Amino acid sequence: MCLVIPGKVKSVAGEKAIVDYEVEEREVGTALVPDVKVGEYVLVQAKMIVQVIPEEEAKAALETIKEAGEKHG
Amino acid sequence: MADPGLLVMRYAFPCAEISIQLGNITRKEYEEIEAALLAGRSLPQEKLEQFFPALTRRLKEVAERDGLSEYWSEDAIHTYFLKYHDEYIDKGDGMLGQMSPTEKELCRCTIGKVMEVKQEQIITLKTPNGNELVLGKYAGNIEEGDIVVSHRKFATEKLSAEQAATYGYP
Repeated sequence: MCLVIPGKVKSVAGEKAIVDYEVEEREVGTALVPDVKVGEYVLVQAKMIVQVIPEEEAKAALETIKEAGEKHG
Repeated sequence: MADPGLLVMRYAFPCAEISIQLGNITRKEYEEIEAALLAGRSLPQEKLEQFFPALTRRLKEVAERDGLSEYWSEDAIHTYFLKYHDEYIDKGDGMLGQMSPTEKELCRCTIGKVMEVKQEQIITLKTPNGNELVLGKYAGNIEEGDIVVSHRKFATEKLSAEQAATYGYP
């Protein structure tokens, strides 16, 4: 899994992107990953995208987080 | 000598959102750390140890391992992040064991030379593995030609050439 919860890039405009976290959307900066594309899964720190991660890693992480939430929720 | 509290904050801040998820800090405390970092001042040691318990434990471990007199010191912080951090990642210590392969690589500290500083303190860092873009705004005044450490794509501090060589930078 990941320690940082991955999000999916919904849109990119200039040096800003909207990242979808299922429960909310956040506007973040893209300056550290300027070639990020819509549909990619990303890790965000301090409102900046810092890393694109492979879809299978992101989905596995989200699944684990969901399972943990169900166990504790 | 650098202020150990400020150094801890600079290295740990990229992980601070994880600390929120873990319940070690609140969003308000996160913002307090960020504001202090941007102002270049440290928070009290006691508070930082409470915010970052795993890091504190590892600083104590590496200080003991290398015979350092103080765990809350520039020496111990460098010894952890620049000498033993990868080892802790590779053995999956604590929450580090829950990172995906991509996040593990992101988490490793890298030493590089600043090639360019752009708007919003976006830095092009030349590292032994190629160029990478890192955020410089939390590390104080960074200029072209400086040798800096990056952790999770955030610059953490400037090193002297001698310090960098100690930790394997060519």
